[in-house]
Amino acid sequence: MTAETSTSTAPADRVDLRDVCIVHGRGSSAVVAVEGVDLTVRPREIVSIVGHSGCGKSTLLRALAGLLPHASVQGNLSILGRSPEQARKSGLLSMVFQDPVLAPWRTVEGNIRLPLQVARGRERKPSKTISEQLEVVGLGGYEKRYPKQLSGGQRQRVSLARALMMEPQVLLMDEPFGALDEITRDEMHTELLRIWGTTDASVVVVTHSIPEAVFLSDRIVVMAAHPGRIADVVEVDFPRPRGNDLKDTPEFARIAHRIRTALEENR
Amino acid sequence: MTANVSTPVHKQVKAVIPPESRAGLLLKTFRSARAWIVLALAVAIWEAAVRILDTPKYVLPAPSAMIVEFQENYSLFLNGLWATTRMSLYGLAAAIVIGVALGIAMGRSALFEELAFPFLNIIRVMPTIAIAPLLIIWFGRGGVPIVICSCLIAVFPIIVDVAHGLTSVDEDLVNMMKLANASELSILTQIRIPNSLPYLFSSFRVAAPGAVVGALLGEYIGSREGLGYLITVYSAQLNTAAVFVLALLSCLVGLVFFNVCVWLEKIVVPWKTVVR
Repeated sequence: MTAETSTSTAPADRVDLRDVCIVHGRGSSAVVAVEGVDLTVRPREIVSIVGHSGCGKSTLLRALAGLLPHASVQGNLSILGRSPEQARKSGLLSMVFQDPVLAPWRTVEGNIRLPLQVARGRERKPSKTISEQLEVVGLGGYEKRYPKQLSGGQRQRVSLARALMMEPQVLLMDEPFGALDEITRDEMHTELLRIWGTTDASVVVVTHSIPEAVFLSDRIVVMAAHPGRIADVVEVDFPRPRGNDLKDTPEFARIAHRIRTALEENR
Repeated sequence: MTANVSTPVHKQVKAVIPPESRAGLLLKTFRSARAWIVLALAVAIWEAAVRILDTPKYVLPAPSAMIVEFQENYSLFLNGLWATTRMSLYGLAAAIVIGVALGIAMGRSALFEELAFPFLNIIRVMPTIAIAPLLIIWFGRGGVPIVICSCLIAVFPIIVDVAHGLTSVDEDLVNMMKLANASELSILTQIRIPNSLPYLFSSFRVAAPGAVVGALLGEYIGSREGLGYLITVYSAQLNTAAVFVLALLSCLVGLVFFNVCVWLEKIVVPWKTVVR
């Protein structure tokens, strides 16, 4: 449990969760999905949330994104000093989902432009063009392709480019590489870290891959289920930049083991 | 899936690629034509059988007799063909307008779906042939009951698929839009409507031949023109060859309708991923 002294005003530079509970439904059919979560994500930090299926990790991420009904979220949930809804309206948040969720009728370029095109009240001009953003994710020259013409990994890169185009302060990722094969996933890990190095975003990644969590994160939040709660928080202090070789070191294995143990103890 | 263009072939491959053989090419040509060859053979066997067995013309006419029949009365047949085509087009147009409107209402409003569903279901399962005589009592002989019959058969696949297309959007795509602070209107125009287009066009593929069947049915029950009407006239005369010709012309209309829809679908929704 992160034991930090609670401040009366939410800090404006970080994501701050205080005693967050999430309840679905009401009355006798109500389900407590998340119970008493305290968590802080510092600026430019990568935090992973791991846990068994149904532990409420995705629900917690969706609460951060302001995608849950207002009534179901209790406690204090602040994103850079604002509520999730305000943060969304100010364009501070982007999200990458497990599936690339691209619009098949739009080209790669059209897909990346879509959120910019529909964002109400957005005045900030993106500092990169779409082509430059595609270069960043390693898809230079793919502007006119359709999603159907891309591989799974390439589609997820487009999805990442679309999220980055919004230049979010907080990037939320819901099992972003879960649908990819092992080789592509390793490649995407180093890519994500490289790209993250060029931004000033904090990242919250929900994953059920322990190596993925250890490799990417500054801190790993281990969640337990029924009701969803934080069981353990593990600091990962490998220096950055990190390369895939890291995954073969004993230190990496030790942290992975600790996470695995925490998960098993909290079935 | 297209090949990944970013990885060019650097080296000359070692593997020997065998050249296409003449026999292989011949086989390919045969494969692409074999369905037509079988069809031609079947027609030939039919012709031969009728001639050898000397079947009465009113039981089973030879294909050649049908050609003769068509040559003798082609202007009458083509007039009928045109009348049926026109009625089917009106029926299909009405079905599209009504089907899209009801489909949107059902897709966007759960209450409307709940209330309208029983009515629509009753009309759907009720055989059109049972309603057709009623339509003639109400509207008299002429175009109106025919168009209604055609519309009745064509409208249901459109309603169902439009409603389905609007609701079967990937929720995370909508969530992505919400995170970008998009309005409900943007989500409708940018996501829900384009998402429903493949469903709409695949429903046309079912609805269009249905419209033709409906029009024929309406003409059959009460009309003074069209293929359906001509079928009643010639079957009463036991002119089986003419009935066969008319049946084939009906097929032709249905096939043309179907293929136009397939063609439109390819043009309008090239990204199509829905499989029915």
